[in-house]
Amino acid sequence: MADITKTTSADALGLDAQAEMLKTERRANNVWNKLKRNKTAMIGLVIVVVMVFIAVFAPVLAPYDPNEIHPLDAFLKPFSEGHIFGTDQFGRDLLSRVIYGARVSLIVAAGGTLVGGVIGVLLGLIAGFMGGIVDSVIMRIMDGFLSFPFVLLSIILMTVLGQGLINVIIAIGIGNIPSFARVVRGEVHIVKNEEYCNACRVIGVSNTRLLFTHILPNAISPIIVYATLNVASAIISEAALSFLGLGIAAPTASWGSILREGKSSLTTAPFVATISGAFILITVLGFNLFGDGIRDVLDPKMKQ
Amino acid sequence: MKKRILALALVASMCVSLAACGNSGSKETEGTAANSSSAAAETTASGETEAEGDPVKGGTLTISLSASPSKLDPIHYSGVYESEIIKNVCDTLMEYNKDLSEYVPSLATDWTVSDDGMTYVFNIRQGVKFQKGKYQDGREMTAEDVAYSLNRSGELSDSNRLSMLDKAEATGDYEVTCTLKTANSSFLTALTDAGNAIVPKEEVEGWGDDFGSHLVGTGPFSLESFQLDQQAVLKKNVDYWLAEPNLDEVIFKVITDSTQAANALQTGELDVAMDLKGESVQKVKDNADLTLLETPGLHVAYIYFNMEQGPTADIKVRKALIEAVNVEEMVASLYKYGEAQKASLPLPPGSWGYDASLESKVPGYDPEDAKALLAEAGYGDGLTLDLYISDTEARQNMAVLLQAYWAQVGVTLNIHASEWGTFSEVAMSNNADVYGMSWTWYPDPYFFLNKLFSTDEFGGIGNGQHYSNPQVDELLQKALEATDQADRADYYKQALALIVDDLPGLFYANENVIYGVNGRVHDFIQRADSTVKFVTTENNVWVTD
Repeated sequence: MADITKTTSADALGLDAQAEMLKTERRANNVWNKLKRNKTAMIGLVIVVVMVFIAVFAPVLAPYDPNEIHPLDAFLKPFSEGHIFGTDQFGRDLLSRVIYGARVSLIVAAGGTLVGGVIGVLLGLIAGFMGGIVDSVIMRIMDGFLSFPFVLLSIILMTVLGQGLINVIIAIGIGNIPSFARVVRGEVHIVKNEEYCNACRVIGVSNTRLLFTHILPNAISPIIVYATLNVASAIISEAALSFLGLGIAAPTASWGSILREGKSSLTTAPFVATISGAFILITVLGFNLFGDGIRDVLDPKMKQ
Repeated sequence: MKKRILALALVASMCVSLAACGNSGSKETEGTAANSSSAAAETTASGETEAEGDPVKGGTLTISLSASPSKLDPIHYSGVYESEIIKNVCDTLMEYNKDLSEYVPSLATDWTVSDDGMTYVFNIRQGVKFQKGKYQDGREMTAEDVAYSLNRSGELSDSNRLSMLDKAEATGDYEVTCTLKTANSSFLTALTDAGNAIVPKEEVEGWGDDFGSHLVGTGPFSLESFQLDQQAVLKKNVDYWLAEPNLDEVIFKVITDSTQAANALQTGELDVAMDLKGESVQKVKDNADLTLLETPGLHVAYIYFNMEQGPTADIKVRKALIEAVNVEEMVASLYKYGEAQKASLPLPPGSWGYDASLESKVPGYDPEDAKALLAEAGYGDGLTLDLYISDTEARQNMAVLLQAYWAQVGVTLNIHASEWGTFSEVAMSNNADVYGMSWTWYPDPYFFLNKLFSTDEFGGIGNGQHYSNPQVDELLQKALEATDQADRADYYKQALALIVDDLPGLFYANENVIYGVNGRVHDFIQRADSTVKFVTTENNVWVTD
């Protein structure tokens, strides 16, 4: 229907106009412009960009050293004596800790997603493409992983690995592998039987090349969507692990560890837990809104 | 494996405080006599709720336990949470009065000690009946039962609670003779321990491994039911030999979180909340309907150094590390609600071996001198140390502060927080530079100084740091063999002076025993050793509605 209208209008307007119109339409349909029209997605993006900015420029933005203690200035209220967010139980500047905490939280969330994504995508590709026994073995192992509650799995891994930034990333990453593998495997199943893949096989393209240059690029949209949404849940996972005391080693701040410390002073200094909790909330919301927007653009089918 | 290690830790240590070992804690805190000490008696004065008015019979009292008791068989118990229950179900040969200054006869009416300190003869109280159980119907307790229970503890106690005992024999219907392996002045103290309570043989053998869940003794309450991680329900023993308990029922409820316990106290779900910490202390203070009971505990929180290897084997480094910490500020920050006092020595002030004149020998806060000492010791460019602690909030907060203080003198501290089992494994094998822990036990200095600094205790949780000083060993041994308490105190003070000079650690706080009690509870006594007993010669708790 649309095609017919286009053709007729193009005939009427001549070739240049037709080309111009095609360009406009392509521009309007490209990912970025589609995204721009999605208001909630833009709100999400703004939040994400702001948080990333805070994380990257933490040393410039933070007014104090986040680990410098002043035991006698503990629990200063927000907006007192130059501490915009007040101070925590050791008299450390809360604003500085939240700013540096953004670094840890985002690095862990992105790193965990990346680790889980890369391994999960590879496994999913192999499983989906090879099929048969390989598929069964890989996917049953993934099912096995999924049968552990995510938090329990991370706790076990953290207990084995010990505290530390890299270890948290690994723990969260491993927890993320199975769901990535599932998403990719499903997509590969659809893509691998497309005409162009059959064509590749006919002209003798190697399996590796077929997999990475033809199948993967065509299966990438759901991966991007899933990864974006996954960053949000990884932030929560990191916060949960830190809240349980299994995250980054002290004194390094992460939003989860600030929340944990704030828990024991909810009556005296409710702002400690509230502020760190609010940052977690807003950032997770940002990634979710942004992820939803990307999904609407890249993969409208997924919505149903 | 973990379990065995944990068990080993407990055997080696018998007792470390709740704060050190977390909620599953192995805290054991039983008081001992300070016959001669007056200063000590003052500091261990107990808190009490009002006893005025006519006692009301009947009613139920609900009290919280801050960790879950698991083993109620006296020879297997490891934590103070278990001893609270055991001490109300069973009796020991003797116990302490409320301020821990004197022995009070319980199942033994009196006793004599031989001149060489090796033989003790006890006269056993007549007419005391066991509670009814499945395997006996409330028969009279005899000297045979006493000998049986003591020998059982001497041989089988998981925590060596009566390791000094060679054998106990019934030498008459109501007379028991105990022979020791070597003279040991801490024997009577050990007899007050819940681990050495008197139990009937039929029940022990009848239930076997399950005896703990069906504990039977001669105490004021009988164990009605025991649900792991939930509660223990105690019913009154009408035939109790001392007096009929005022309470019909006592319920011990496991509530590990201090905030939650304070909330339950406010809503009336609890009558007594034990081991309050942090904010919940303030909450109880602010509530007019509740009473806060607070008593200095027999407790020392401390960090201690590897004395054998690594940089801390050098006394200059140890001195520098101690001087780098502003202890006063640290204690003010860690205990914001005054839950502890600043400490200096490895003995709590409530112990009769305490010597306040030694406090000034501990190096004070002096970061400049600390830097100079480190440079002198060859660490002018900085130093990295590993600290091991158990993963409780109290230890972790302490570690963060320590890290910050030491960073100011160029020392980088890596904090390793792990659950109690792992911590004790590392601490016993002396595999790190610095450790953080706390110690709680009887006021007899033996339970602090011998356990923490004797060469014999190498590999135990107490002396995992491998502190060894032949002069100290000699004094500690002399103190154990001496029978006169004034002599013993003197030896301990001499030993303490030598120990303080060696700077084995930084002893920073003495935590208080803190309970919240609501207004319906009367005649309740709080003790420095955190034992809770509802019926003694000094009190008989009652509740109003």
